[in-house]
Amino acid sequence: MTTTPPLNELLEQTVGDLRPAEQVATPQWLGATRQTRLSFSRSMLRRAQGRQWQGERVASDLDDQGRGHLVYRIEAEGYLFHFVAFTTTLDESQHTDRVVADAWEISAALIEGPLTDDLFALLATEVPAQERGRFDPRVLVLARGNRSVRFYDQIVGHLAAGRQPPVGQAADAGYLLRSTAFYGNGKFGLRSFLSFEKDHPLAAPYRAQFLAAWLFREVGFDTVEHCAQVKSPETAVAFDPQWRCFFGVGNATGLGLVPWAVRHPKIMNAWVGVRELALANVRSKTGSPQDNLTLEKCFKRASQHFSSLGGGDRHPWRGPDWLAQRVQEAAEAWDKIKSEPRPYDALYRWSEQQPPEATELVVSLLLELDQTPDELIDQLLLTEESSPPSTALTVGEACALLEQKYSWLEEIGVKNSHADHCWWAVSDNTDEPRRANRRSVDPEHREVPIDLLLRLHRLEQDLTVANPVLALNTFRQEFPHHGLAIDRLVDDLGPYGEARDNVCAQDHLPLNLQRFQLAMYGMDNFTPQSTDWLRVTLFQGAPRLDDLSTGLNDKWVWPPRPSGENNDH
Amino acid sequence: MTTGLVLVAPREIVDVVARASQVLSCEASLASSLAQDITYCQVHHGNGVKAFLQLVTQGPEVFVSTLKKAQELQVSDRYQFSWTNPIPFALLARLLNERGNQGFIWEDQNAAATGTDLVPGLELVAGSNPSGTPNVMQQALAQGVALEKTTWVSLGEIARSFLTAEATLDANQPVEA
Repeated sequence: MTTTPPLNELLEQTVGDLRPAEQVATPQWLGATRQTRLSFSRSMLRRAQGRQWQGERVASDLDDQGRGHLVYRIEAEGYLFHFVAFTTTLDESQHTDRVVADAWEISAALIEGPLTDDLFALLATEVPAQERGRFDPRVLVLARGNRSVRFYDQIVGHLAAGRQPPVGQAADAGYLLRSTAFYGNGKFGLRSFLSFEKDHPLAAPYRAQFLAAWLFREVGFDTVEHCAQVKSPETAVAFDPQWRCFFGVGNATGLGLVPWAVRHPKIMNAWVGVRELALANVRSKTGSPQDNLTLEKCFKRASQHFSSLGGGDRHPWRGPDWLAQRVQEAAEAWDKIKSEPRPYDALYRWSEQQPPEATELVVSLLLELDQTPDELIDQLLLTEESSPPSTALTVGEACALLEQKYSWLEEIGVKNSHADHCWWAVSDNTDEPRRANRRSVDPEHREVPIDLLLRLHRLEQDLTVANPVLALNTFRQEFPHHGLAIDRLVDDLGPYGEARDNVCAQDHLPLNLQRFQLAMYGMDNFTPQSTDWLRVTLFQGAPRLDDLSTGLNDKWVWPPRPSGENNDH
Repeated sequence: MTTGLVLVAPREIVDVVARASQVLSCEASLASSLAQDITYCQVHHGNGVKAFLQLVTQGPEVFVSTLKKAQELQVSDRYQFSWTNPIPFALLARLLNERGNQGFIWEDQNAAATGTDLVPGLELVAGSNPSGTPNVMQQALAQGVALEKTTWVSLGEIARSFLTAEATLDANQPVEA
């Protein structure tokens, strides 16, 4: 049995072929990232397919408005899971995109093990209360969201009347339900994912949340069809094959992703690292007819998807019209270079001459050719976030290490007068992270310590005037406030762990870090609503639960907009 | 859940102790380290959170100075420690484990010690941590850590001051959002 080297070892061995952190860990590039086959939504479904998971809806108790509960059962690799969703209706005025709200139309939980009567009773009380509830480790994920205000009832009306959704309007929606949170990993008493055995089907990062999100999407389809059926039993129809997979789950995402990215540098390193390794693999390939065909199909599919989605730029990012045009240009460039000895590398190099959003679009297309086994990807993504190692460094050695690892601090403006303009707070409204102006609101012992780059800069200042032969541990005793910075410095975060982004700067744009993570999740259709939050869609075009029995297809991204040709209206 | 007890994930203890410590004037670095100490002790020896609550009743100055004293264990060229005000074992357990991994153990350590036990001093000698001990942390991650509800609520009450009023944040947006 061969052992795979740890991720950082692989990155070191391949370093000459990888894009450097100075490029891909900058806000501009992080904020250009798109979903790939490595994204969690896709790897979860491939695992389900590869390991022959089985699933079905086992209970549905809904009234004529779709209020009640649904239960789905998943059997995966000898493990049993249930997804329990409680549904209600709210007045439109109570709908909100923010994670903060008092009530939701859908609240749900993913649990491991049998759904006993007493557990169901506990869930019925605690799940709708969300973070005000209290759970135990049988519960893995807690989720909530609302129906699409604009389209849900409209689509129910169409299905009830025996028609499929109206193409022009409904296809723009992209989702039936919009989620606002998928909590997991020890919050509110939920099970800590670190406790999963290595071969547990949900051991890979975010797999539990993405199984929950996939089943959450199922709730949308099932309740819409139920409501249509109740409304007009004589005429109602189900979604036809063009529509049955079209809708994904909407999601609204706020500032919480930023502290997460800063606090989990090893995970950030793994996420960027596996993508860069995969890209290097693809670039090193010689062309093959099969890969060429795959790539050309991707061009076509992506082009159709963005063209049919349509629309202008979504500041600060480019919109579907621009993306469709770039896919077209990439396809044209490909025609000219595909006979080169390393054609995928040539295409990548062509894309590097384009703006970063176009480059990352091409990266997303190229990675469709990656053949890294899923088991290896999962393994590389699992990171140990143990405490930093104890250190025997001296002050002088620490200075040298700082210079080696953080020589770029000055370049990102840590010395600027606005470098500490913001501090990060936690709102008293359901623990939501927020930014505050340091000059107008005193942090007074309430600051979330994610100002790591500023701390490293201050550490550097104190280290340079300290005795270079002094033990760093002794220095730490004298300057305990440098503890976080020292831990950060001595820990092995890997080449991509530290985003070159001062999250406290006045000009920090949270959207960039958010987008990187959302792309890694597999989200698309990025639609910023401000500097701080955005809307996205997930699982649009993905297979459905009952496809598990017939086989899932991984080529579901960039779904074509339904043509409506089979509609009977 | 057993009446009177609440199951808590280890990360929750880390988060809440870190917040509570910052509220009690502890700088974030020290607060973060303390949160790891308390959680480690709670999981491996029990009474970590209770020790924290006892310590904070002594006021911010004693609280912070006691933490700094406990951190002396990290300095690798010292082997004898003596404290005028005894240190709760909760602040020492994790650091002692680390020193054990470096080849120095506290030979006289009471195997049954819990976080609230007070330690006036200790001497490290060459040795290593016992091997083959059950993975208590793994069990805590899978099943949660049982805490008395009153203890958990008291900790949460201190940590609540870490939160900033939504209205304050709304009124002071740092940038045009």
